[in-house]
Amino acid sequence: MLILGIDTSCDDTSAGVVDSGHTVRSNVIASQYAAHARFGGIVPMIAAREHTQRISYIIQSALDDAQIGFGDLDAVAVAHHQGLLLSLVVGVSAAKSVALACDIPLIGMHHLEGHIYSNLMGRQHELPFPFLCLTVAGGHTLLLKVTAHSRYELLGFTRDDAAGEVFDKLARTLGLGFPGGPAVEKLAAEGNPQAYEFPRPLINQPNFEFSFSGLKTAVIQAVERDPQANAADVCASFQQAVIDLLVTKTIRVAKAHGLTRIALAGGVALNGPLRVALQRECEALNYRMFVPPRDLCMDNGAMMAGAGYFLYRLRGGDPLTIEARANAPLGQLGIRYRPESKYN
Amino acid sequence: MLQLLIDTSGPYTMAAVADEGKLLGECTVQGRPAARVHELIRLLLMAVKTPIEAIDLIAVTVGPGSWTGLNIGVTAAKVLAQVRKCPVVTVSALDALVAVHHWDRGQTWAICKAGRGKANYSLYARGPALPGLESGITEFGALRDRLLQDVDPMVLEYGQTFRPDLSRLPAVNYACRERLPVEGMILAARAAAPLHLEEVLALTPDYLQPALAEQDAQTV
Repeated sequence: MLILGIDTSCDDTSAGVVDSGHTVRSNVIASQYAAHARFGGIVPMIAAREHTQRISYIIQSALDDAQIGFGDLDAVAVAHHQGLLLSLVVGVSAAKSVALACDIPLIGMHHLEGHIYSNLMGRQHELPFPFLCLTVAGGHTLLLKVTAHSRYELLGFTRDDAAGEVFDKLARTLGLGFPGGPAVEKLAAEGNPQAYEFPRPLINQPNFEFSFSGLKTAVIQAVERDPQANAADVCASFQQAVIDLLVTKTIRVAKAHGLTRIALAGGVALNGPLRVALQRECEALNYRMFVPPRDLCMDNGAMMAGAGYFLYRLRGGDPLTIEARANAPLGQLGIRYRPESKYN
Repeated sequence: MLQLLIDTSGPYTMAAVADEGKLLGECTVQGRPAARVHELIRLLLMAVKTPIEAIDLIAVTVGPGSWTGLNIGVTAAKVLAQVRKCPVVTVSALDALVAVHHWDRGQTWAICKAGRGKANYSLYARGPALPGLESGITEFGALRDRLLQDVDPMVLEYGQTFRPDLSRLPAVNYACRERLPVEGMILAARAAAPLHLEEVLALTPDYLQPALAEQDAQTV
């Protein structure tokens, strides 16, 4: 079953083709870094315009790379929940056009399900349910127990900022450009992670919640107090604090719930030192850790196509009336991980 | 030649099918509608008993108008055309507004708000409107001064933002429309040249205001 997946939830325009949820036939991602770099962050109106301009080329490239045409598609999956509304609507409109013109099912997806399923693509038998998924990116930081297809238990979440968002803020403060994650990681490699004693909020609290706003404030104040501060040391110390928080809470949740398989997902999963630190802890406890290939960690269309296969088998397709929503409950149980007002 | 016409530029979303300029069917919906455009098209094609494979040309409004609505409509049109390999013609919402209008006493100005005190405008000659004489985006105050100096002009506004500032105009010289006339879209589409496939793939809404987006840049 060949599924075209489309994701335009933020600033990457992406499309991919996946065969039966496992075999990635293509995965094309066009980033908009250049369009947003001078603003130090993503400008939603510009992102929408860039998506509209690129979406046809990206879809065509995904089909060409997969060596198929529109007539070979069996379904089209698209992220329509969670992200920037102005961006989501472009991908949704494109996917509906493909579904309408090809007379194939449309599968509306929650963006986070794509990230979660990126761990299952090609290795479903290695990673049976249940497992723990730490999904961490610019818009969210969650610890989910994945019990079955599209069934999740929310075990931990951030009270305030997402981890990836804090990387971007630090990069902006230090003038490292956008996106912040890779820039901070690169500079951190040259610094001393013990140079600054940044706070690790809630790390000793016996709960599974994260908080990054205090860390963000402390790092930015440190830079503002001492403009001559060694940026590499700041980045290394900050990155270590984030890693300590993520790894400590993840392992604590895994132990408490008896989950010995831990999956990492989302853009921050690209962070090399985080992967190494979590892997080291997992090995010490004889747990297994799973991380998707690098191009499945970023926002991408293939993960939507892969997840779409499983969800289509679970609940069938959607009507052409589905709409984009910036915030939406997750999975069949309707998990809510943001303040209630966000869902109105 | 069967044409599918799509308009998502304003508070109404419209899909229509025409054959050589003759309207075969139209579906219009009001209220947060752009996301419904595909369902409208599906229902319309069923109503006129026309499979999508029979469509020879797609016409779509590319602005000015709602930022989000236009992104949805233009994306819908370009991807439909990409799959069906049919050409696209782009239509200015202001041309569609004016195409069914006839004003013999002077020039016609079609205007529409562009945000931050600016207005999109198109100017048309006396009599049959199309093609227009000039179009652009400008400070509304400068535009108002210019059109009020015109001899017996007609002002057609898409929406009704600027009417209070145009109170010096006699009522007969001003009209506003909340939705585009489908006949106007058909006429404007017939006056436009089809785009090549490469142009279709790169098509974006014609906001006439890219600089505004950058002035207003709010990052997330």
